[in-house]
Amino acid sequence: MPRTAGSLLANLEVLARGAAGPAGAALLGARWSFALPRPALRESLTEFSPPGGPAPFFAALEARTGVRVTEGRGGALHGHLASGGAVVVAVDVFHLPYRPAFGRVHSSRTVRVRPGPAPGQVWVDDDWPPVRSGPLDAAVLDRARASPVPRDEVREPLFAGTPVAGEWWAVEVDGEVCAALPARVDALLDELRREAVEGGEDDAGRYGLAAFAAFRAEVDSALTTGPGRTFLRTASLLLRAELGSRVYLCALLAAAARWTGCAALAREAAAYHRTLREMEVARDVLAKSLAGFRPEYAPFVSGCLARAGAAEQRLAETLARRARAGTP
Amino acid sequence: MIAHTPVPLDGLRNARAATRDADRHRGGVNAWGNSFPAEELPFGAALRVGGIPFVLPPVDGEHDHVETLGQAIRIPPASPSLGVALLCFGEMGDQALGVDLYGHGGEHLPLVARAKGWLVPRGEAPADAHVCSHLHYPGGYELDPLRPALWCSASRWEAPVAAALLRLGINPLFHLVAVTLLHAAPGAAEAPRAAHGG
Repeated sequence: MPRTAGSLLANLEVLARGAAGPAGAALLGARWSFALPRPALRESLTEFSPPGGPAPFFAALEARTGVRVTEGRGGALHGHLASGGAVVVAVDVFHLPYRPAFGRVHSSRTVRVRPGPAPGQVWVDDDWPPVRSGPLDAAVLDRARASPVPRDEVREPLFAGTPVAGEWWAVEVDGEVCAALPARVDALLDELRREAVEGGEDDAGRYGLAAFAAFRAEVDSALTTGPGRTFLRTASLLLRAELGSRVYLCALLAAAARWTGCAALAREAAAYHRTLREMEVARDVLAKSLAGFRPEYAPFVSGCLARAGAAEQRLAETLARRARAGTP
Repeated sequence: MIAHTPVPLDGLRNARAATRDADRHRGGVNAWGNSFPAEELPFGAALRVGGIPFVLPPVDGEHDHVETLGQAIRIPPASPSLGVALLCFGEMGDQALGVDLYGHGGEHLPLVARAKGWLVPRGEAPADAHVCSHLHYPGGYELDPLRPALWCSASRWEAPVAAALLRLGINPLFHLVAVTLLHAAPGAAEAPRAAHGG
């Protein structure tokens, strides 16, 4: 599992690859923005929250690449599994007997689930270290799928505090849209560039690279004055969601470079991918700060996010030049 | 032959990595309060990792290692060095740290140290790590599916340098436990490069 992606997108990638082959990762990358929710809306962020935006994340992906991620809740999951399908399921690992956290720590994220080897069982693929694949009683899974995941500031300061309520996701790929993607990838990249640069605002929050700049200002201000736990937690989770979508944006950029035979785009994609490390380290130091913030972290995190912001601008300029030149 | 000189970290330690069974709740390597089992780290004694001997300083009150925040490590006079080895670990996966070595003769060697992630799945036994038998949790218990590890990260250079100062970069996720300088042993014509790795 890529360290930079949350468990939902990483697990969806596995299913998308199963449906579309190696291009599956790129299909999840057709979104480039930065969604800065209103503060009241950040409280419910989880480990597996998809990035926000003026349009629902999965709807945007489907329209652009043909990858259809359907979101379900409750018992319909078992009907889907009975038909032979695989899904991604939100769980509280407190209820999973094979986890170190079993019976001790409430913590929510996602796992992949397939039909099981015997009646009353499912097969679970859990890529979170320590990695485990194996059968599980369906009743046990169902307990893990419905949990308040109570906040625990000591044992799980980051991934607890928002209930899991039976959420699950399945993946299908529209073969026609997917097959047409290489021919229209330049138009898609320009659409993504405009999404990022033009941004926007609505009742739920602000979007685009300007929203990232606003987020950086919020972080700088909070870390300078002494950040509260809620700020640290939500800022880290927000970066987690944004990083996840950028991992797959990189996969799309790399695929576009291959499809168009553009070595320069391949280099830019690789450079942009390397700079994601800046956002990743900022995310992790914000999380670390939940156990104890030091003033020295403030300029360090600020520097990481400033370099990440510069990389965003550079990619925007690269894609703008590409659009102006009519590449290919 | 290579000789080794431990470099003291007196006054620089600022973080706690290890806890005893009675005080697991005081751990704090990461946001989740996990820690090394102190009984498996020989504080105040020697520990060989990756073929290089380190000396773990005695625990200094609450602190047993350095969270790297730009500290300067003054190096006691010693014979010219050919390298430096760090006993370290990465929080939240592998971590890199810029390190600047300054010599008494005005030399400046910019180095990059790499600390591998501190949690190793049960069953893995990497040669360049000291892997403990279990991980401490703040809830007062211990488990072994993921085991904490210290890693050896060695950097070497061609011409001997009379090292004076090691300036650590800033990465709060990079943890430094001990430092050892590498020298040509007295009388040795050439350092056996193949004998040492990071």
